[in-house]
Amino acid sequence: MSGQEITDETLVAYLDGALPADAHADVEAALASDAGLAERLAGLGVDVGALKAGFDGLLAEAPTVALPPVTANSNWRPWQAAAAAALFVIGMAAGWGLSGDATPDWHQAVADYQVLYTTETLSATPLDAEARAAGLARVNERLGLTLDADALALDGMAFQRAQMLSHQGAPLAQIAFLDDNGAPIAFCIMKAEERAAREAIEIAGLSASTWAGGGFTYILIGPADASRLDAAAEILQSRMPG
Amino acid sequence: MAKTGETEVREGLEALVPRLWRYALVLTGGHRADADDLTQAAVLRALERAGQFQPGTRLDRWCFTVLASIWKNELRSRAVRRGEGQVPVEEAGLATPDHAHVNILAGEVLTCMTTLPEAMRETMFLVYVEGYSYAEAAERLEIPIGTVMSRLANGRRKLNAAMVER
Repeated sequence: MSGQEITDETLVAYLDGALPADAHADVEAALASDAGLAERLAGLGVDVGALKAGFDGLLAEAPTVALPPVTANSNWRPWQAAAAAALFVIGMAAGWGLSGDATPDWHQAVADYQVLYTTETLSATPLDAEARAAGLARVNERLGLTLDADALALDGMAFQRAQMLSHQGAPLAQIAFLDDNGAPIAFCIMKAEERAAREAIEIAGLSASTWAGGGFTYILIGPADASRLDAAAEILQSRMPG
Repeated sequence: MAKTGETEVREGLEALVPRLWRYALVLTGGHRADADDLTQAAVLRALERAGQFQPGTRLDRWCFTVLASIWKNELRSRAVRRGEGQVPVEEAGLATPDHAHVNILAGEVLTCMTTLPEAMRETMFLVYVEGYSYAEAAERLEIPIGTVMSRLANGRRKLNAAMVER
């Protein structure tokens, strides 16, 4: 075989030791007699060991993620574990380079979490009315609210479930909706003394409306049209303390 | 009793996080904040989809596929929209003094890797760092094996030239 018939791809396979023995011998023979081929081979030379070593050195710099413990009797569901794992990571987010951002960090934490939601996240594990009410009751108890399904009834957005999360140790209520386009929308509430007028913003590529008053701070967020989301936020605002 | 897919994912996922993050860094071109986001998303998605994992198959490869699919279908466009799809080499996080002092050559190779286009970088990483065979890489990337080999040839040529220049 002449050197010109040997492609660079074959030379790569030769360097990687991936050629069958006879083809390997053919390349070796051609290299001995063809200086041009030897030059091409040299141009493909990479210290693969150094490459591997460099990448192995990165492993020690990786962030850690702790998954929630599973107890022998727990009735474990993937989305619950996912929620718990996300919580842990969000707790670390401050050290991961989100600082220096004007967005209040709980808004950013909610956005980072919400961006992972898909239609499936909510639709794959639908809750019945009783389970939804139980979730709301926990939210009401933890935050001192009096929410019910009527307070969350919105045109084009269906209430899916309510659950308690936490942000930096403080309780955070997450009330999940699916809009009629299948977009997952979250209405999140934390206790706060501040007051702030309602404002439509964009965080992490998501539309959001935020406001605060009456002892709480609120955000409605999701991958939806900003004006539509803000209209829903206006209705929720009228029904909430503040 | 044989383990279920869910159990295997739960038990094995945490230990895989550093390798998932390293792959995420390769995909994001060394952009650490994006790599963190991508790793977090992949861990969540792997837990959500744990029931789909076939017990006894390679969990690392399965998780890599999950991570790459999130990057390609969801997060890459966001990163590119922000104008952060390409990170200037000097800001890219692949090479840091931490490991450069361990092995200067390794650090330089890493820095050079960030200059390669994403597809080339990813193929080189899968084959030379994670030990995928050409056929396995072709399957993972959903491209013909010949394309894997030409990406490796182009990647090697560029890396070789970049190292010679330094």
